[in-house]
Amino acid sequence: MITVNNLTKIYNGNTVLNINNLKIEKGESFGLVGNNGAGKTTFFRLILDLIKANSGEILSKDTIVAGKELWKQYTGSYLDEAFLIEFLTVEEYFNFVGKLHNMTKGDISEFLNKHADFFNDEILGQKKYIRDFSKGNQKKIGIIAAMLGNPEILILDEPFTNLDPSSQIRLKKILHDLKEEKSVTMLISSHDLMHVTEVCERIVVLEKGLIVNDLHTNENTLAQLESYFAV
Amino acid sequence: MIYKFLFQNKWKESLRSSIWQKNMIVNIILGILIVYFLVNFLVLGILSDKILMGIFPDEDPVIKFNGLLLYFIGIDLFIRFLGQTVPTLSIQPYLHLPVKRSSLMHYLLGRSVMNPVNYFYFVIFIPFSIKAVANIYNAPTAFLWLFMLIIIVLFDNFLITYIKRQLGSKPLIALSLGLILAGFILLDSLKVFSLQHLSEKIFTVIMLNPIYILIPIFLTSAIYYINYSFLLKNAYLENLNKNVSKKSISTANISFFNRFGIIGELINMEIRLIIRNKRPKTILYMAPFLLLYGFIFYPQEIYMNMSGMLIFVGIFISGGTMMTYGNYLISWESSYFDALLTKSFDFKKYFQAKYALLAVVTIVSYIITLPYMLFDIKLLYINTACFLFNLGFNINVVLFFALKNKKYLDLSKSAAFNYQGIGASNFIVMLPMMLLPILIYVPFSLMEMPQIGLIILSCIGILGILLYKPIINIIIKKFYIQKYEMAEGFRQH
Repeated sequence: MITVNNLTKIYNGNTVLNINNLKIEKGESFGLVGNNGAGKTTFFRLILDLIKANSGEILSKDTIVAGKELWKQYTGSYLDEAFLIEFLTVEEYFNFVGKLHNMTKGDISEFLNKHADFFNDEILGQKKYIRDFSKGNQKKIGIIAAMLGNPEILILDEPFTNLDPSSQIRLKKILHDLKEEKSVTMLISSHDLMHVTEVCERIVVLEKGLIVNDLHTNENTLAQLESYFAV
Repeated sequence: MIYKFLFQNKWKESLRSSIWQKNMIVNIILGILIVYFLVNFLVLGILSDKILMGIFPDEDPVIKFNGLLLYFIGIDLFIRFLGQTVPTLSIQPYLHLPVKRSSLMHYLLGRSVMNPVNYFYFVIFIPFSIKAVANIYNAPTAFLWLFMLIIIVLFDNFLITYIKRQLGSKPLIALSLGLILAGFILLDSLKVFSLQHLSEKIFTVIMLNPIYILIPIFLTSAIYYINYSFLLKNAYLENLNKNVSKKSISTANISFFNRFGIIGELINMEIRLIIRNKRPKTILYMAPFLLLYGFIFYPQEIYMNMSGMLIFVGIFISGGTMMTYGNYLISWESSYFDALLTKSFDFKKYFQAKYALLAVVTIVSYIITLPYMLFDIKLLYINTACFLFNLGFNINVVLFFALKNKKYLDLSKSAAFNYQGIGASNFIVMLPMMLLPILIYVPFSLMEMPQIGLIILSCIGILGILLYKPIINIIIKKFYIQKYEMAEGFRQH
């Protein structure tokens, strides 16, 4: 689904990302872990064509991502608040994104109803702008908006941070269902080793821009990761 | 001790402000503008006694000057209301530290006194006090007079701080302040009630009887204390973040645009952006003033014969609002630019929506200002040519330069006197839009063929409209090259 060839990104002479070869299969749930500055967000931004690589290329469904538009139709993403339009109400935002995916108002409200549990009555029908929501609720809005329009690829940066415990558990269920029912390819980064091992079947460890480990998740993975990150 | 520390931090904050580091060219341009105004005011200050003696030949210019002081206070309050910020949030990092709340409040108020902008007017006052007051009266009186003015400026400063904290900066208040001021000027000119006369009396009495200076000192102390006790009571996080409170939300949706699919959706979103954020909203409120610009020039014979000037005004009244908003196009959306880049929509439609919005603004401005032709029918021809030039040429210039916007724009601050997020290109863009039409027109006007000049301006405009499609395509091509750099810049804040 996604192929990375000889990808490098350099900021002020520092190589912040250097991935020789990486293949993510269709339907794979791919976890990305690493300390701050490891290059996780940089990698996601490159996949989303938000920054330019210094060399190499990323292919999505065998076509180049950089400068192209096609991948946007089947890729949902939420990296940070810059993905939200802060002066809109939640409904306006979902309607806007939904329309970009040619969804009708009915489709959109049906989709939102499906996630009513996750929203926990705090998000829909609130008569306030997105900028006035708490960080946690903003994150929920962004994550669910990324799922609009049945994406085949879902890219989430730190989806569990700022969420309350119940929401974390619900999110894990939602991600699990997406994978089982629609075999969505998921790319998820996280600082929380427990969550990411629960959700992802494959985990890649980044350190200073390099892939230092590529694991298939099993019962030992969490212990393995914990010992890797232990100081 | 604690004050020293607080002021040192403030000093560091100003020195390390990103404005200094990033924006060399903007700083230079702003610096030149400031020096320009300072020199202007200085000259005004040096000449003001001569000017006053010219207008009132047999009277004391100092008393006449005093007569203007109440108006000065009014204008100063009005400008401060638009421009002065009330930065309560800046004490947030200290609230949880072992610092007395009362010290913080004194610091906050004291800090506003340190702002050099307060003393800008003294470029006028000081030369006048030396040339006129010290000359006609004596040096101690001149000192007393200046001291009185400092007290007045501080009074204005604290009064506006209090009003703005209490009422927020609603444009309605600014408007009523302006109207009250205009009302007094009207009453004065109709000789119903003379504020000037009152002002003469008040300030001349203070100037000649030092004991009365205690009254303004008392008033200023009182407003300082009111501010202080208000702050002390309200300096809690929930009150500091007042703008988070539940305001009623607008359900702006101009259904007219809905029929245009995604383009309409984008236009509606931009309209929401304008009315729900402070900074673009100020531009909206400024629009009527830009439209009224013609009244400064058209009633005067001299300007009516300077046809180059009329082109300038013509470009301005139908294009002014479009330019002031369009100048920061895309920058307005800097806080969610990444969202736009990753969502699947055609950027052609995005730019078509931008063009449509700017065109609507220009067309509406043109229609509203049509009645200017009642001054002189030639204004109809001039303004129509300027309008076509705006529509076909200037909008495209705005769109091209929008691709050079790389600075994050903070939408929550007022646009008045706000240079955050402004780059050199925002100044440069004004040159082709304002000067080019004049340069094209003036030669023909000098050759006594102004009609040809107007026809050429109109033709350039019409050509731009006809070439709409290829131009948009070029813009999109450039956009795809520029977008990484723009996104990178927008993320820095």
